[in-house]
Order: sequence, then C-alpha cells, then structure tokens
Amino acid sequence: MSDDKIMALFKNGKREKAFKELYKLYPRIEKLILSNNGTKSDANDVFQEALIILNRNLEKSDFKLTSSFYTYLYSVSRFVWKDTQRKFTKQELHNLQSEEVSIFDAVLEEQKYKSAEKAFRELGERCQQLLQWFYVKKMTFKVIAEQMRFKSEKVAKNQKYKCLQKAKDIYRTQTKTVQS
Amino acid sequence: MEKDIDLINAYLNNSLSETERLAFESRLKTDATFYEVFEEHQTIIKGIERVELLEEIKTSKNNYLLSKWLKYIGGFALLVVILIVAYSLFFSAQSEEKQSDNNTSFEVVKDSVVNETLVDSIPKYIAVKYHLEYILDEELTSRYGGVETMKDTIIKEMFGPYTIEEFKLAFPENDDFKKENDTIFINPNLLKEIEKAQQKVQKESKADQVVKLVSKNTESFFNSTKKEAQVISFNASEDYQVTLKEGTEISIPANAFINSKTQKEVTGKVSLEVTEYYKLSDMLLADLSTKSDDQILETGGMLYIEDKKDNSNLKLKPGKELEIVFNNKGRKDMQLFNGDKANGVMNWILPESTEIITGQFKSTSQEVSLSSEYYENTDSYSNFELLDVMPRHPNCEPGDNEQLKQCFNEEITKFVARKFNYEIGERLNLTTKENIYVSFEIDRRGNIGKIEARSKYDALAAEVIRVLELFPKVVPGKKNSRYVTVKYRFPIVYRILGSENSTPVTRTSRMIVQQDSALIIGNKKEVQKEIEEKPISEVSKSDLERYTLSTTQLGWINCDRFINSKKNKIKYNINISNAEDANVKLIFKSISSILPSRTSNGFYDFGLVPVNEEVILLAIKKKGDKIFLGLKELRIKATSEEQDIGFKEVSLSELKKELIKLNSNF
Repeated sequence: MSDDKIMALFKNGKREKAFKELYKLYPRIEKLILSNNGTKSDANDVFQEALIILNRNLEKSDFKLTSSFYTYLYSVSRFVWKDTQRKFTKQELHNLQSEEVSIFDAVLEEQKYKSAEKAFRELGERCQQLLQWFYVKKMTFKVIAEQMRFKSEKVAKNQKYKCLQKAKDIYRTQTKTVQS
Repeated sequence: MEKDIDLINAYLNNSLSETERLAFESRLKTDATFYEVFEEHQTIIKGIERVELLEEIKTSKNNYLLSKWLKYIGGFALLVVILIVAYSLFFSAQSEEKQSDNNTSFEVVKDSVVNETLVDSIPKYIAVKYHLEYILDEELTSRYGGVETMKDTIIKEMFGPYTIEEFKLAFPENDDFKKENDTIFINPNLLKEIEKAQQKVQKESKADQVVKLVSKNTESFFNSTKKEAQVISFNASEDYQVTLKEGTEISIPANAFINSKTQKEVTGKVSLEVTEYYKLSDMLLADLSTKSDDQILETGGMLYIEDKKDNSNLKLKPGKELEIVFNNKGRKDMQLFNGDKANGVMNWILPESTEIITGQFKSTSQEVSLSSEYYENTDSYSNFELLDVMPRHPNCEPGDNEQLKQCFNEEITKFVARKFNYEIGERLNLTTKENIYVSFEIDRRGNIGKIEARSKYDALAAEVIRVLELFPKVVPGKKNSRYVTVKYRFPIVYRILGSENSTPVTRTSRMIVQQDSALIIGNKKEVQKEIEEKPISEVSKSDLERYTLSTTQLGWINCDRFINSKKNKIKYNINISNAEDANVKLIFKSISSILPSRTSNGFYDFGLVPVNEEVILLAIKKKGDKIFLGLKELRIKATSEEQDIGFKEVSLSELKKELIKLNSNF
C-alpha cells in the first residue's frame, strides 16, 4: 500500500488498519535492531515505540511527514534503540541535524510518557478504567457513574481526581528514583 | 487544586471560551507552579493514552501476522491445486493414449491343461489374456457428450497358444516377462504387439467379442458401439487427397494445420482420423441425430474428423479449408453443418461461411445476386448522400461511409445467398433470370422492417421476405448525430446460369454468392477447373450427385439440408411407460432424418415434428449388462401419445443386425 493510502487511513481514523500496513515494514526494522546487538523482543518494543511516536506526531497539526513512512520509522527506531542503550556520544548529539533533533526530542518526550504509563499501570484496576474512560474515551461522568455504579456524577468525578493524583504521586516518586 | 485540574481538562478539550483560553495561556507563562501541574497532567494523560495505543498496535500486529499466514496458507493451497492440475494433465495426456501403462494390467496365464512349470527347453502352450481398462479423460468424454468420468472396463480375452519358444520368437524385444506361480507378467509394452498380432483374429471374431460394460450409462454404451475411425497418415506440408472406404473424398491443402494448443503451424507427418457415417445403423450406433436448433435436417452423411500429430490435436489454420466430397446419392441443396453435442444431444449448426457447389459446373445453375443498383434511396427522411454515418453491419469494421456501404452490401448479399431456399426456384422451373424488387428499412434501433418484395412469382418474393426477416440487428445510420431510419431499395436477381446455353439441362443446383463471383468462389476454382477440363460426356452420374463442400472446422461435420416441409408441424411428445431412461429417437422414412428426444419421467419430447409422417420409433435401453431394443413403426398424428414398446433383449451383434435392417429406410 502506498504511503498516501496509509496516510488516508490515519486521517480517516482507521488507525488499526494503518498500523497493520506499517507492520509490513517491521522485518526491515527488526534487521536493524538485530544487527545492533538487540533481540527480537527488543526489536518488537522499538517498533512499537516508533509507531506510537509516529502516531503522536501525526496528531499534531504542525507536523508534516517529509520522508516516507519507512525512512521516518527507521530513524525513529534507530534513536529509540540508541537511547535505550544510552550510546549517544556528546559528539553525536552535537552533530544532529534539525530534523534529527526533532526526532530525538520526540523520543525523549516519549520516554516521559512511558514512565507515566508505568505509573498508571500501578493503579488499581478500577482507577485505571475510570481514567481511561474519562481521558481516552472521553466519556462523561454521568455515563461513567452509571457504568461503574457510583452513587452520583459527583462521586465519580471525585474518584477520578483521587485516582489521577495517585498516578501523579507514583510518577513523581518514579522520576525521583531515576534521577537520584 | 481540583479546580485547576478541571480547568486544564477544559482547556485540553477546547471547551473554554476565547477570553478564558487567553487567561489560561497567560497564567501558564506567569505561574510556574501552574505550568508544572499542567505539564505533569499532560504527561500522565499521554501515558494513559499509550495504554490504548499499545493495545491497538498489538491487534494490528496480530492481524498482520494472521494475514501473512493466510497468504502462506493460500499460497500453499494454490501450490497444491497447481500440482494436482499438473498431475491430472500429465495423467490425462497418458490416458488419452487409451492404453496408458498405468491403467493397463494384463497377464499371461498359462494354459491349465498343459504343464505346471515353464521351462524354456520344452515347448508349452500358454494363453494370452489381458484386461484392458481405460479411463476416458475429461476432454474425450466431453467431446462425446459431457458425461462425467466414465470407467469402462473392457475385458478382451484372447487365447493365443504360444510355446515359450514361439512367444519369444514372436516378441523378441519383450522376453523379459516374469513368472509367478502360473501367471506370467509381461512388460506392458507388449500389449501393442500382441494386439497387432491378434488383429486379424480380432476382426473376424469382432461380432462375438465379449464386451462388458461396467457403466450403466447409455452414453458410454454408445461410445463402445461407435464406429472405428480410419487413420490416414500424410505429410502436412503438401497438398493431399484421399478417398475413404465409403466414398468420401477429402482434399487437404498444404500447411493447413496448426497445433490447437501452441497455435504453431504443423509440418511433417500427421495423421487424419476420419469416421464416415452414411448408414443409418452407423449413425444410430454413434447416437447421432439430425437437428439444427429446432429445425429438422435431412442428412447426406456425417463425418467425424480429427487430426493429430504425436497425440496432440490439430486444428485448421484460419483461412484454410478442407474440401470434402460427400458420397451422396441424389440429394440437392446440401449444406455443411458443424456438430456441437450438448446434454448428449447433437445439434448441427450452420457455420458462417459455407457455400455449396455441386459437382457439375457446366450444367444449369441458379444464383441469387443483388444487382449493382443497390441503394436507390428515394425516401424523404434520409437520403444516402445526406447521411453522416451509414448503417453498419456487426461484421463490418467501422470505417468511412464508402467502406461501410460496401461491407453492408457484401454482408446482405452473403446473407441472402446463404439463407435462400433454392428449391423454390427449382419447383417453379425457372429458365431465365427473375428480378425480385425489394425494399426495407433499417430503423433507428437498427432493426430491419417494412420489408416488401415484388416478383412475377409470389413464392420468390415470399422467400426473400422470409430471409430478410432473419437479417440480424445492425448499427443504425446517423444524421446530425441522431439515429435515423434509412430506407433501402434494390432488386435481387435470381438467375439460372447457363440457360442461354442450348446444352441439355441437368438439374443440379449451384449456390454461389454473386457480386464478385470470382472472388467468393476463390479457392474453389481449382475444383471447378478440374471438372471443367473433363469433356461433358465424361462427367459421370456420380459426379453430379456429389457435393463439394469446404469446411474451416474439424470435428463433427454433417452434409445436410433443412427440411422445408409444407406439412403442418406439431409439438410431439410420447409417453413410454416402460422406457426406464431409454435412448429414444424418431427415424423419418421419407427423409433421411433422425430426431433426438429430450426426456423426463418417461416423457419424450421431440419438439416440432411434421404431421402425418411415417416414422420408426427406436428405443435402446440398458439394464446392467443387458441391452434392450424397442422398435415401432407409426404415423405421427396427435400431439401427445401413449406408446407401449415391446422391448426385447438383444446382444450387441443382434442389435447391430437389427439396425442394419433399418438401413434401407435411408
């Protein structure tokens, strides 16, 4: 499938189909990781990250894909992998070109989100569901209250706030331990 | 704090008013703590989003892997199918040889009367016995009527007494037989040689040959009774002429064949396999009938022609024709039909380009032609000169008006010449030329209409109208980019050729397409010359009674004419109570015609049949290995009749004898 068609799938909200198409590029990315001392599961993780980063950028109104999907995913994957290996030398970072800088920024940003995700996953099941429904599925408190059998919308809203705060607490302690 | 979060949510959801949004953004710039809270909040939400995204990616990945596997499985399945097809093709190529080694098992059984062991030194008698089993491949079966795969086991027992010494002498290349108890297994290649050696014996004992039919299908029964083809070998690169056993003459031009698979021209030695069907019994035993769509034909003989080179089928090269002279006795106006067998019933189709020329060219001939004053368009609604586009016959290529006009003329000339029933002219005993004035219209939809014909003889006019009514739909003419009705008016000339000549008139008809007779007769000129060279007195009677026909197709060929009986026709069907799926045919005594029937539940439908004809009702049925024959003479009267046929059991040779008795009716 051509890049244009894949792009159209993203625009029409058919993200899953688009991802499925992009998975055809996976074998080549896997080769890259395998030839850089990674395992197959590393390659899998790296490609997932690359897809997430691509998707985030596509959702930004000011982002424009200047190269093919393959080139983009390849360079993102390369950065993700080098980042996890912490193999960037100062010289390398210094010599980055502007496009590479933006990719590198995106990779670093995503690292933050990844730890936020980790924090989120430490919440109780009910909290996770509540937050997902509100923030991702954009459900109203009214519906959530009904579905999760809260006494009222207000209780649901209150509960959501508590859950969010908890996630933030976990996230903060995580980042502190990483930093220290 | 919670209020801030609500505010941030509202901001992210774009549900703030313009002023609120501006206030929010300026607060982000001034209030560092608020900025931190905002950043942190966003990070957490993006983290939550990741959960959903990862889920989606996983499903996509699984879908991708699944479709990949499906492709592999699909590819594998395709490979399997290809292998099966390739195998069956290979297999069928083998079985077409009819005596494929795979299917042939035969054994030499030692004669039980003689000694127990076979020692080379002492001559002992052995019996040759083999089972020949062949599976007709699909191509063959469909040619014979599209029956599913048939398995006919034909067991031929031939007891050829041989001593081992004699055996070895007779078949020196095949002495590698193995002895196992009292059976000797020989190299299967031996079969051909044994057959050769036994052919004489076989021919003599043919009538009594034991033919066992495993299949209950009458189709396969007819396949087994079918006449054997005559095989003639000749060099395809040269002109060749042959006269067959029953008098058919076939002339084949050089380089006329191409391989039907590769489409390449064939050179060198090829073999022609021809079966002649002149006798009623031969036709009946081959399950042949004489019908063209719904019309009854009178037959002047049928042929089945096949051409082969190294077991691959050949066909005629486009533009090449076989000349066939049918051994025909006194029937006129025969045309060539090509056979097409569907649902077990033979349908004869008049091919597009057949012309008939009878053997005598010096004698009186008739012809129908269009005179050169084709279009005298006098009608007001479209004048030819004013037409933008002329009507176009479907066989014509689009072109300029002059080309269209010429092509249309040719097509209509050919059409009239082909469909015209020349018997009408003969019956009128016409001696000079007759003009038939015709006018018709091609309407805006391309249909022919308002056909009018004028002639001294009403029958001629009526025949022209009948023929023109059959004229196919054409592309209508155009004027000012709109379809318009176009009127045609021209005379058709019906002429007896050679009438000015005072030589005695032999009444044989000739049908040619005039316009440019030299052109259309074309490759028949040679034949014409050949006969012309003979002094008239030497033209034998048989020459006059024969038909030179040319065909562009191999396969089933029938020399026929339509029965233009004046008798009333009725839809005729018979209910035969004890039919049990018998094959039922009507044989017409007055005309050489065999009519097949369509059957359901004991009802046999013959379609339209002329009334008051004397016919023979023939029914052949098979029950297990037994053959039953039913014959009844009757006259067609009512539309639907009950008939009881006394079936009697017959052996194959008895059946043949019974059918041969009927031959005098043809």
